[in-house]
Parts: sequence; structure tokens; C-alpha cells
Amino acid sequence: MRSPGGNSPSRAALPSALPGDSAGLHQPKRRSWERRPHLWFILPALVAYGILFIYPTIRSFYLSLFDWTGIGPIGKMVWLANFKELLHDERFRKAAWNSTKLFAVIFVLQNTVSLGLAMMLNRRSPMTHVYRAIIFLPVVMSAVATGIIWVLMLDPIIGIVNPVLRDIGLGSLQQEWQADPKWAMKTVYLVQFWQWNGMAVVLYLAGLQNVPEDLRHAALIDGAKRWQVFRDVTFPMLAPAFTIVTALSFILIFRAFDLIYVLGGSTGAPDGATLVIGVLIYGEAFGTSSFNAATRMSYAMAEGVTLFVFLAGMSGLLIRVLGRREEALQ
Amino acid sequence: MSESFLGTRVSRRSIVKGMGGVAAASALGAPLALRTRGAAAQDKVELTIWGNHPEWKDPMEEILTAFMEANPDISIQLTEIPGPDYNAKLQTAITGGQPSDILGDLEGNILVRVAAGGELPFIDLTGKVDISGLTETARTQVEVDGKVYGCPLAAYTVGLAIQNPIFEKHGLTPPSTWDELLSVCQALKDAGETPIVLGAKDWVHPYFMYIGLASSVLGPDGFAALRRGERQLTEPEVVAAAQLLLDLQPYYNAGFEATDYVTAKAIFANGRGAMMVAGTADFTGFRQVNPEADLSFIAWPGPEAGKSATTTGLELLYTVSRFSSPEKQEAATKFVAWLATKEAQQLVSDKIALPVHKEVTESDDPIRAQTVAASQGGDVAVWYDLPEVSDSVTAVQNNQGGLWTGRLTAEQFAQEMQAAVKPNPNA
Repeated sequence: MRSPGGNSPSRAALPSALPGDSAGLHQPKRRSWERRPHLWFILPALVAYGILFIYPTIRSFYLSLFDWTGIGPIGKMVWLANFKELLHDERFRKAAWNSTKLFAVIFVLQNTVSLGLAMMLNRRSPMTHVYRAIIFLPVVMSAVATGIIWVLMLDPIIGIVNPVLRDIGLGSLQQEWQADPKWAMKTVYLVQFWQWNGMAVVLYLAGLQNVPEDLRHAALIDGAKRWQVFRDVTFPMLAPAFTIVTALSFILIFRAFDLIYVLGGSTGAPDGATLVIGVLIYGEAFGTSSFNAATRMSYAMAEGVTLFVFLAGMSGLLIRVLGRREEALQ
Repeated sequence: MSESFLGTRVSRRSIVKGMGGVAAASALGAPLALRTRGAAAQDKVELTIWGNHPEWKDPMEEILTAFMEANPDISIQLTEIPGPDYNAKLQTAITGGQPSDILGDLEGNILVRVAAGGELPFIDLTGKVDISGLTETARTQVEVDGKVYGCPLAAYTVGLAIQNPIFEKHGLTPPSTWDELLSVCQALKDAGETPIVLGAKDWVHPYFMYIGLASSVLGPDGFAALRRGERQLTEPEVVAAAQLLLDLQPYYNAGFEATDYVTAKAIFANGRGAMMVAGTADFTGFRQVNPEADLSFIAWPGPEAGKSATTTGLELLYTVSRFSSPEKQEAATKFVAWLATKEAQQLVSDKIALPVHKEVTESDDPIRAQTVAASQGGDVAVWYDLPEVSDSVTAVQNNQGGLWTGRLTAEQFAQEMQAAVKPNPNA
């Protein structure tokens, strides 16, 4: 066996590695750690990650193969029965469809409204910092607090949205925003976008600040119109930001829970119109109220595992496809 | 290296000296602090207890204070957790081995846990807690296979809460039959009032309304027959209860489909609705929202005169955590044993909800007296407490929305409900 040094003498030929010289025998191990001191620095985080994420994830996979309510000893192994049931579960399909619609709407809004706002904020103005702070504020607010505020504002009896519409002459637009199945999910789109808009704006803003002004000016001097400059110069240069915004929003939306739970409750009121996968999993695992202790922990884990596999696969695919797009554009 | 800090030259050596001094002081002080704390701990056993009614915090503190005064060697720290979050918190804490010392389990759960087998999160209190004075309903929830595991905090009866000023203002009397209910609702609506406040977002109110109205059709005997499989929820006269939920739709508050339980309570307590589904326990919350609220309680109107009904359930079942130290278990057992006494249940009756002790029949609270009177008509257990009909909760939760959106007819809803019944001929 050759030593890592290539032309250096083999381990057996080293004086320190002679039989009976224990110090010499342990030397390569010490060298290995010495050569990689960074391992010591990442070890604590790695251990914590293993205990708090890797182990629970593997354990969830295992428990999803059982029939277990979450109370008492783990029940009998049912192998893939929970996963089979999932395929025919009307509520799971409804929740998955609602999550997909939510992502589609947020994707469109982030790449139109958020990008537009980022371009506006990219101009130098004395108020730019204030606008940035205002737009980013919802991101740092507690999702539960945000949800409660919106629930109260949209309430048809005690809320302020309907009275304001009435007072400004738009009374015909008053709705039972959260109670009408036609409007309930649209309300979720609005509130969810309102909360995550700031994140997309900041990411696009960072991307825009990396687009050289010279390129844009050159294109304008060459006779390109503003729209053409955006389409052919600015947007292609935003490819890395687009990748991050899309992948992040995909993951955040499909595992969204807190804000939507506050808005639509444990059953996705009304009549499952606002039920998304995160809320469904929580309800199956822990019950939906203090009057309903009926739980299906293993089934909830099967839903969680399915979501995990889907998110991991789709995120990987998204990053790969968008990464290739970045390379092609550059 | 040295820097000027508020005019004083601070050297690195002096910083190191200072840190050394602080460390030394901590090293000397810590054992002293621990010793002091240890002495205090020797004086009192400190227990924790969780509740699922934040609106009961003050009256619960009063009840705990009464216990602590009688047992000065025990101190109890109360934490109230919102009802919808309670089960998730409890299950997580049990899995992590850190529930409260006095462990409050949900009604029905002691039966479920014992039936599931395995190690229980609470200890056996047989011979340590005397439950002979408890009502039959209470005893069946805490005694399994001859072993006693705890004592319920209280009971509650569910019917309709009435805003007296609204009824008086329009010269109306509370309804006792379905026809009267519909005509009273119409009269209230015509007068510009919201007849019924319903919080259907978390399905709790529609569920109680359905089981209340269906129970008024079935009566106690019919309900027993339903559990045995001798009667069906799809029988036309029982389907009529689901139909009534639909017929009353024009009389619910605006946006009731997305109104949650807490908001519905606030709307009603502030006089913005004339009637609301309510249990004994809710009145403390109503008064917390509006101390001036003038309310009363009636049973569910029946399909005909004399067929009104109420449903009765239990609040948290207090047990002793097996995860606590033996010293704490002993102190917690004292509390659970005290909770089962007439003295403690009288306090419960005066301050919170219905007592579970047979000999406590009076209350300082007039609403509780009305509740007891209302439940004389025809009272059945809340359905989710009984294994044959406990899945009705999930059936309503998954399907009640369909009633309001037109996805389900009353007949289809009744079929979904019947599918959730698991008849037991021996029930």
C-alpha cells in the first residue's frame, strides 16, 4: 500500500512503525485528525444534527410501518398499509392539492409582485431603507400573531376589512372572507404571500445589486427598450436568485403549518377548503381538539414521510433543473 | 494592550483578574445558593399541574390555594394551556417523560390507555384515593378493572346559553321545542338580532348541537339502544336533527363556518347573539369576557314538548405522573385524594363547573343550579366518552362542513355519522 505522500517511504519502512512501537502505530490516526482540524469544529453541530434530525427522521420511517395511535405500546407492524391508505385518502389528496395550488399562486406572485417591488427598491431614494424595512417586517413577525391579526381583521362581525370597504364605497365587495369556501383559500394565498413577500424581495434585491449597471446602460445605448433590457439582461442575471426563491418557497409552502392553522383551524375550515398537508399531519398525530383524542400517529408519520420524500425529490430536481438553467444563461 | 474605559486604564491582566474573581465568587456562592434552595425544598414539595381552560386560571388558583392551606408542605404551580393545544402538549410531554406531576388526562383517555396496554403514564392509586363518593359517570372514567387511577376535576352539562336581555327586549321566552326554536329564531332575526352564535371552524359547536338534538330525539333509552346497535342515526326522526342544523343555517352568525370557539364565546358574551351552544364550563369564560353578562341556561329543545335533553361530560381526569419522584408522587396523590372529597368538590361547584361528588348538590352559582334542573329532563353522556360512539367526533369533524356547503344532505350526513358507530350488544 502506498502512503499518501506518493514517493515517501511506506509505513512499514518508517522507524516509528517498527513492531513494538505503539506510538508509531497510532501516529497515522493522529495525523488524520490533525490534517482535518475542521472536523473538531463541526463535530458538536454534527452530533446535535444527528440526535435532533437524523435519528427522528429514521425513527419516523420505521414507525410509519406500524398501526399505532401514539398512545400505549407500539402496535402491530402493517408494513406499507398506511402508505396504501394514503393513496386513497380523500382528505390527503385534498390537502396535497391545496398545498400545490398555494405554491403555484405564491410562485407567480413572488416572480411578479415581489420582483417588481425589488426593482423599485433597487432605485436610490432617501426612503428606500424605510420601504425595505416595511416590506421585510412581516417576515420577522410571529406567524401565529400574524394569523390572529388577519383572522380578527377579516371577521365579518368584529373585523375591519368589511367596514372599511363599505365606508369607501366598495360595500359590494364585502365578503365572508374565511367562511365562504370560494374566498377562504384566496385569503390564505393573500396572507401567506403577505408574510413571505419580504423574503423574496430581499433575495431578488440582492440579485439585482449584482447586475452590473454597465451592462444595462450598454443595452440601452444600443437601442434596447426597457422591457428588452429586463428580459435579456436583468432577468437572466437573476437566475441564481430565482433558483433560491423558487426552491425556498417550494419547501416553505409545502411544509407550511402555523399561519394556515390559525386561519383555517384544525380541519381547514370551511369544509376542508383551507386544509393543507402540514395541518392534516398535525391533526392526525395529535387530534384536532381537546374533545377529540383520537389520534393516528403512525398514519401521520406515513404522511410526513411521504411529504419528506416528495420534498427531497422535488427540491433536488428543482435545484438541478434551475442550476442548469443558470449555467445556460451565463 | 490596554484601553481607556470611562477614564480608567483597563489592562488585559486586570480583565483576567476580574474574570477570575467572578469565577471564584461563583464557585463559592453556588454551593451556598444550592444549600439555601435545598433547605427551601425540604420545607415544601413543589408540584406542577396543567389545565386546559385558560379562563379558569383564577378560580383554579383559588381551589389550589385551599388545598395548599390545608397542606402547607405542598406547593402547586398551575399552567393553563388552551384546549385545542392541550392534547398535543400532553402527548409530547408524556413521550418526553416530562408531564406535570399532577397529570390531567382527557376524558376517556384513562380507558384508552389501559386498554392499549404497556406502561401507563400515571400510577395506580387504588387504596389511596377514595372514589366511593363520586358519581357513576365519574367513577367509570377513573376506575378500570378494579384499579383507581385518579379523579375528574369536574363535570359539565351542555345545552343552550341564553342572553336574557335580548329575550326580554323582544318579549320572547326561551324555546323548549324545535318548532319554538325556529319561530324564536325568526322573530329574533326579524328584530335585527343574531339568533344563534355558532363557532363551526373547529366543529366543536356543531358537534355538540348535533349530539344534543339527536339525543333529544333518542332520549336516554334510545341512546342506549343506539350503542347496542338496536337503533340507527339514519332513522327519519333522527335525520330530522341533522336537518334542523341545516334549517337553522339562516339564523347563525355571519361567517359562522370560520368562527372559532373562543371568538364565538366573545361574540355571545358581549350580547351580539341571543343563543349559543354552551356547557357549564363556558359560563366562567362568558363572565370573564363580560362580567355584566346576564345569562341563563336551558336544555336542548326537543322535537316535541317534554323531550328536551342535555349531554354531560367530564373535565380533565387528574392522575399522578409516573415520571415524578416518589416524594412528588406522594404529594400529588394527596391532592388527587383531596379532589375526590366533598369539600373540594363543593369548591369546584362554587367556582368552576359541576361537581362529581354525589353529595354536593348546591352551588353559589345560579347557572349551575339551572344546569342541574335542565339535566333532569333527559341527560346522556357526551358521545365521545363512550367507545361505541366516540368516533362520532371524527365523523363530524370531517363532514359537518359538508352540511353548510351543500356537499352533503342531512341524510348523507346521518349516514356518515352512523358509519362511525361501533355497536356493542353488551353496552
